[in-house]
Amino acid sequence: MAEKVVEIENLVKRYRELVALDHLCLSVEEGEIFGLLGPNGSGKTTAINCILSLLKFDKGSVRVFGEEMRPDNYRVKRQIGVAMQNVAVFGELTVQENIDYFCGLYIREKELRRQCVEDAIAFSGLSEFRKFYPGKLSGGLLRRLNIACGVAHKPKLIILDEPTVAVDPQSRNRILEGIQKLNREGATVIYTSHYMEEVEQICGRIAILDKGRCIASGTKEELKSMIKTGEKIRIEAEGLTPVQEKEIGELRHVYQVGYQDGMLEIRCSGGKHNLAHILEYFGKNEIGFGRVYAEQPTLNDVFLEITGKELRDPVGGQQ
Amino acid sequence: MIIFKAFFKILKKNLTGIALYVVIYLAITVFVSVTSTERADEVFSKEAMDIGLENRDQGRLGAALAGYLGQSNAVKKIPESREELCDAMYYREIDYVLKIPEDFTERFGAGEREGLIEGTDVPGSAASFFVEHEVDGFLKTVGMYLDAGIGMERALQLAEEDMGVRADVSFLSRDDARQMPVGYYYFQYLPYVFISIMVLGVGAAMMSFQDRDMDGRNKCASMPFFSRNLQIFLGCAAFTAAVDAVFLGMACGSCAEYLFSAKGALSAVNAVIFSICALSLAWFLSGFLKNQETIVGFSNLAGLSFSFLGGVFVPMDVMGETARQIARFVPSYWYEKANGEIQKAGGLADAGQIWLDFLAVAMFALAFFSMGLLARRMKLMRAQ
Repeated sequence: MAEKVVEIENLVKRYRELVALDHLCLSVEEGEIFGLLGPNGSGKTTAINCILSLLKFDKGSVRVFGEEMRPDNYRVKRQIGVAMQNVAVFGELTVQENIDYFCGLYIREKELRRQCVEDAIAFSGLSEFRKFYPGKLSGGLLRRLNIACGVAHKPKLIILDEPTVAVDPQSRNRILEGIQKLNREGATVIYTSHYMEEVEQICGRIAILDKGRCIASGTKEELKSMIKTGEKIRIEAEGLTPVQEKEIGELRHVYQVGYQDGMLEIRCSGGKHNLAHILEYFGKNEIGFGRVYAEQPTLNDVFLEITGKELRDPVGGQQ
Repeated sequence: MIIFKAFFKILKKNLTGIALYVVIYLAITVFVSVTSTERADEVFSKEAMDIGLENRDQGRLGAALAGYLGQSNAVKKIPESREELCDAMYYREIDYVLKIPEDFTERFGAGEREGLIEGTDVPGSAASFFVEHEVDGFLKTVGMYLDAGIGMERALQLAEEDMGVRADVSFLSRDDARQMPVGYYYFQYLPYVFISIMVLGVGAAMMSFQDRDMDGRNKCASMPFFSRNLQIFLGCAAFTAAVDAVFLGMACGSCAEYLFSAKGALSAVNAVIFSICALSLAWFLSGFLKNQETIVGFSNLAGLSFSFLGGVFVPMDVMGETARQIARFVPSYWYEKANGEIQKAGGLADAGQIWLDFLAVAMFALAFFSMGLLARRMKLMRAQ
């Protein structure tokens, strides 16, 4: 069994009447990319701030690398790298100076630091921008600089709080690939986001937060298996009769059928070869059909089914 | 010393603005010290006019009036030709032409007062006001005695005595101002530049470090809290020392003799203590600054308001009592007070009150620092 890098038990954080974290329990294992997924205001950043001892909490415990996390636990802090939601770099320093500064907060030895800075610049693809001031960088490059500043000292635990907000798709992919690379090199990553596609893409285990509580956790497969919704099939079909619609609804694993404007939408609760069975029915009854779409359940479906509300627009809808 | 280095890199970005303040300061100091020296050479004297006088009166009154005007004005003979007279008036060799008629004494003694004498002035000059004021004053006084039944001779004697009385005009602190060395003016305007520079330089750097996200990132790091703050403190201290060195260095160049005297040494100590106070003030104010764009305006506001309230630009003597009472709550007041007292003091042994003024400025520094700490503490508690 892998060693637990972060252990959160019954964490409660209140802002006066507002309960930001409500008996939150989480554990992150060494070597994994752990996703914290939740809508805005669900408590992701508060949880991160508590892990980092930036916030005092009312109840519970946070242990990092087996030690209780405190503001003065510098030995543990040495092993943590952070890139927060808002870009936090000095506008007066160049890209290289910024990375050197943040690396210097962890590493005093000059030669080692120089090497770390070079590695971070190469990792983030900022080599040609090293003399640029942050104000001259695009949003994507700025995000990459923000991450480079957080990981330059080669930490064992990397905490990334929504690092792809307001980033173009190209930079987003580069950031996500970078995170996977850091993970392959041995870093444990805690990744918070409200973009489910990103979390699905890179995270091994995921915890879904809502109103400060962890409402579900596990691998994405485990999470999807928790809900009734399995495959979602949509077929362009003309002239479907109500009787045929009813018969389709009686096929195996089908639990919901909707037909509107020539589009048939079928929801299946698990099972295999659902599409094949449906198309077989279409063939037997000589029903003509056009395009066919089959979708596996998403984390949004999981969130929707558990909380009754949407998690967030898909990545394409990001700002 | 990574934070210490970053502190100065951030400061470097504001170097142009800081240099601008130094230039403004030097310009003010040079201008005021030069003009003040010129003023100091002058003493108060009544405005003297060049009067062209033609006295045709054979009596005593015409001569007495001419004599009276001659006491405080230059009485000249009117050129014979009209052309020469016009030239003289055009070139301001004569400001006013006064003609006293032949039977002036008799007519005046008979009670005729209006339209007896003829005056001509240069259009647009104030000469007619001054001369006519003097002539009217003299003649009214004589007329008053004549009307009271006093004879002409005695009336003229009494009028000359009355008109000889002069108002005692004295400058506010003129005796001091007259003797002020250039070094006094050099140090007088330092509060303005110190506050402006500190708010602009230190304020900008502190704002960068205290930015919420930046602060969070720094707190996440493994560098101990004490070490981080120590480096920022050292950065502030080094910057203050550099500012002091630059301004005392410039003092060496502009008023070396003064600087290396006992008074100069006290002025230097006064300046150093005030620079620490300005640093403390900048630290306090930086806790309230929201963004870097407003900092230039803020530094101007702080520099000017503390300077005007504290009597840096306007001498305390001309400020009202209420303004002076309010000024006591501003450190620049105590700085200026010390600066003035240093000039009066005979030497270090005679500097008792000055030390108290220094102490007052130091207490302000402590107060600003404590208030800054308190404000930050409250901010942190709100964030938690």
